[in-house]
Amino acid sequence: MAGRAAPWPAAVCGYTGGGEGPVGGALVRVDEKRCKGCGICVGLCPRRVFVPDERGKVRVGRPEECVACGLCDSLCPDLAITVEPRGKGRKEAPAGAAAV
Amino acid sequence: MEEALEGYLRSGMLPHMWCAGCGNGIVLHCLIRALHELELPREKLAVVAGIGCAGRAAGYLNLDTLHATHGRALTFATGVKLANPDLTVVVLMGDGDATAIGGNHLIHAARRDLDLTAVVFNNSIYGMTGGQHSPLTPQGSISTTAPEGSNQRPFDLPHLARGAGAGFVARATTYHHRLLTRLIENGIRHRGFALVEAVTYCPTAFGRHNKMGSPVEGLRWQRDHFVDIEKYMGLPEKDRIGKEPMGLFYPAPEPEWPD
Repeated sequence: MAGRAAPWPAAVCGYTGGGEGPVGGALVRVDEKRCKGCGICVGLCPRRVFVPDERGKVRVGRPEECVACGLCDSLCPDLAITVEPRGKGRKEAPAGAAAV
Repeated sequence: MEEALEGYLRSGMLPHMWCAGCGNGIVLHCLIRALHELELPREKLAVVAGIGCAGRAAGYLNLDTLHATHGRALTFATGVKLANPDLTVVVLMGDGDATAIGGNHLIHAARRDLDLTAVVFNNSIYGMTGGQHSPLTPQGSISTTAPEGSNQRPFDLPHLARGAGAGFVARATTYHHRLLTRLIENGIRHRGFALVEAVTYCPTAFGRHNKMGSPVEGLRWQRDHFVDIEKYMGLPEKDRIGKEPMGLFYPAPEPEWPD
């Protein structure tokens, strides 16, 4: 995984738009607006991908460690984390579900 | 959250009003995932919620939702279902909303066996009003109205629902999110009254008074204390102390109830 990791863009890592980066097995993003910094992802991620932030939120600190297990996505109470495994098809929402 | 699921959220309403680490968001995520898996057309869906922290969940869903009065979510849902039987109706309630203020409605909704799916967010406390004791607060737990520890026994919600006539009764925790998603999904599939108890952790009003620690500790507590009902049934009496069963209670894979 680490060998495939792309350089981490500093602007994103420093979380000017959440946290995003192309990484080993997945693309992990934290929606800064939604995140309340509860620390669930920090405490439960088996690969310690997330690190707490001085602003009381969380950023993707070690993206190259991610194995795309998706635990952070499922257990994030703020619905703030997206994990996009690479090369896997996704199920589409039913018609009309995307309209807001 | 997966992009395919974002369409179910009123994203303009986020971030939600729940505290940092509140398990309600995890239940909401599981519910959305279950609805997505079911591939129901959204015009055939109606979500009714009661009052309390859990009741706010309906406000974040980009579906036809109804925020009913305290304890009366099931009565409003009964009306919705009778007026339009084609709708799939999901009812979201907190533990106090479902078993105290709306306790009477809960048992009678189960008795009528109307095709509703009730998801009870059990955080063991009245969170929104300041941490008062609820009918699902575990015995011995500290709350603002039981500062020395509650001496009352809580309701056994799955058996209460089953006794009242619910045809599908299940329980899962927020830590066991896959199980919770599957149970909600199957509860909605069930034709008749289905009750799914979603055990969540309230770090603010429950965890703080009971020295249970951070949201992470709360999830670990769920992981360590809840065991699958089939395994629970096989445990000797002494090993059941401190454990709680979860999974599908009814229709049960085992013919007996846990003690």
